[in-house]
Amino acid sequence: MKLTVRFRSYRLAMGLLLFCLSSCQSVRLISSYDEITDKAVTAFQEKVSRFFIKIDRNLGTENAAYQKNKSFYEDAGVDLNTLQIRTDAIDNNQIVQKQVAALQQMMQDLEKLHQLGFNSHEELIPLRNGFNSAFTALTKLQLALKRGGK
Amino acid sequence: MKPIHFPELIQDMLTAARDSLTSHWKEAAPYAEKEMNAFAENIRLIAKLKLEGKISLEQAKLHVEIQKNAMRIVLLTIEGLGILAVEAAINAAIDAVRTTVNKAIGWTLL
Repeated sequence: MKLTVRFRSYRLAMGLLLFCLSSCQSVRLISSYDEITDKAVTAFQEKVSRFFIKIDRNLGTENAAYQKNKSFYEDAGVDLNTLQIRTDAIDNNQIVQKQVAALQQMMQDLEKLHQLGFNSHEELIPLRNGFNSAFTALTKLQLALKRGGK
Repeated sequence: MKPIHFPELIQDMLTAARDSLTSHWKEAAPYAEKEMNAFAENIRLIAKLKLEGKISLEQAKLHVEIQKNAMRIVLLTIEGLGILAVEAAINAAIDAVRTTVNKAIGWTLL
């Protein structure tokens, strides 16, 4: 009786293992790499980098004032909305979706800061660093997704 | 059909999974440490700007929010790298026993 139960358990375990192994030729727990998202992130990172260089060089002049740079925030809003739609359309992509939402919030806070005015070069340092960290992280994940679970 | 030696099979799978997870963590750990140091440094800079009266409290709060969201993006990447590491570990475990299982059952199951 004991042996029969043990044999049945063994067969069940073996069956389960074979089923698991056969049903998952290659396991995927996260979204696949998306080239469009990757390129959009890189393009947006370039735009933000150009913006910081422009503000840094023109600080104290009218060219660094919010009114003169309003179009940058409008363009950034469109870019991020497009990126959000793209990432929302991909299955199993919650991590990238949350990253895009956090980036949108960063841009909104940057705009509020700009409206209050930038007065020194030092103010730009943590901002540039923060955005660099965010873009590095976004790119790092995209590259890892490209490589896949290998 | 050849018999499958389960304890050996499981050991092979565990070894493959452990090696895969270790190599992924070795890659993610320095990145996580670097970004946490950068976050702390940025917060220190913001505090300095506020203490020196170069930015207002409202500006300081917005600066901190930006840093928090940047860190959130970093942590989400680390979470993603972790999921990819688990994915790789599972696939490595399957790869490790693929030949044994296929040979034992006599046809290509895996």
